[in-house]
Amino acid sequence: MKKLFFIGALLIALGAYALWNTFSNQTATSLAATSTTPPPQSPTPVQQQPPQPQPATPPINSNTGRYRDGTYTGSVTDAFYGPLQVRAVIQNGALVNIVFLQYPNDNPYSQERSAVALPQLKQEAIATQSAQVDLVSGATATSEAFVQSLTTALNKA
Amino acid sequence: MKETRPCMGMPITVEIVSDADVHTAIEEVFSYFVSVDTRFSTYKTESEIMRINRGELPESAWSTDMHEIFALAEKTKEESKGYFDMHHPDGHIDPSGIVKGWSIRNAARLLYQKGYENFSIEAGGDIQTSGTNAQGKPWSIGIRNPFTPNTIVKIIYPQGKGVATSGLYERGNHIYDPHHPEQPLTALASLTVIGPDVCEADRFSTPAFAMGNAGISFIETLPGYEGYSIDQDGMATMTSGFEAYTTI
Repeated sequence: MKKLFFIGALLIALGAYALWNTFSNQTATSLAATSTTPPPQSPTPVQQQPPQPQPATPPINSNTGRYRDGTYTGSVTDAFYGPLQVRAVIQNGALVNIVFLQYPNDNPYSQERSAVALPQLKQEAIATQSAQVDLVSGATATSEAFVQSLTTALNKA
Repeated sequence: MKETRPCMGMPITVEIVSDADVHTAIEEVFSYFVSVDTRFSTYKTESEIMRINRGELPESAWSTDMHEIFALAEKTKEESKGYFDMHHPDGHIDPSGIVKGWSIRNAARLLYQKGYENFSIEAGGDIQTSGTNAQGKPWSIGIRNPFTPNTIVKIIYPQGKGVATSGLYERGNHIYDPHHPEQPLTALASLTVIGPDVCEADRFSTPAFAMGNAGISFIETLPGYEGYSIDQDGMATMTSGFEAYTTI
């Protein structure tokens, strides 16, 4: 009877180890797939540290000095009323859109703050456009002067 | 045919797309702007508005246009929660915040009544277009970059609507918050409004700009209006229907 009990305990322990091993390997694999950090040198199967968040500032191409095209997710930051996380979209080397992945909206007070600070209006960083337009809305200088100035500039380009 | 002349303290450009001789029509449009300037300029000592400011003209002697502008200014003050106010703290009256858009709209009506369908009128960055341009395509308007004025940051196709932009760089139109006239406005660099016509766009762009970061939300609450504001960090915020005007 004692012997049977011992074998049963051993089987449970082995099963638990097998499960733990499988789970750890899967975790390590999935982390490796999503993280850009190199695999750890130590044989520890589980990374205790979460993957490093990608930088909020997209990398700048050292050759052109421009942002590289792509979508970049910033780290989650504490916006005092709750977590805030943004995603930046770069097209043709310019910042064209910022998407709010998270912003404080968990409690009524935060929702009130958000309604003031971030209404449901789309935001984007301004980016210079090509000048193929009939008129310019702004102030002071005429669209004529604008078109003339740009035409001379483009003639030099 | 396209012509630019200085008037009302700013360059005004009129373009009429037509096979007919449009010289007379263009002359009439500029004559109209000259008459508006004569009546409403706060830089001309003998203008009607300056005579009113000096108390020389009883209300019974005001022109029909003056009554119309005063009524429009009062209406705009109510609709903008007091953020538009032509009565300045020092007591003088300056309606130039709405005269520009109002006069462009009237000039556009003048051309329309003459049978012209394809034209554009631009005065100091406020614009009314109608029909199509000289290439037969929809009129396109660039929103000026408030930081580098020789570039544009957005292209819109107003589809016959009016477009007006307010900014601190605007000449002769020193916008301030009527509720806090002593505080400089620093939140926004510019705010562009697309409205039913240029008069409507103009009369809301000035108070919305004075509201700072809340201005674009105010435009969002107005049915039939869209807006694009640019803050001092170069971040733009647009109303929910704005992007419908960014493609043909």
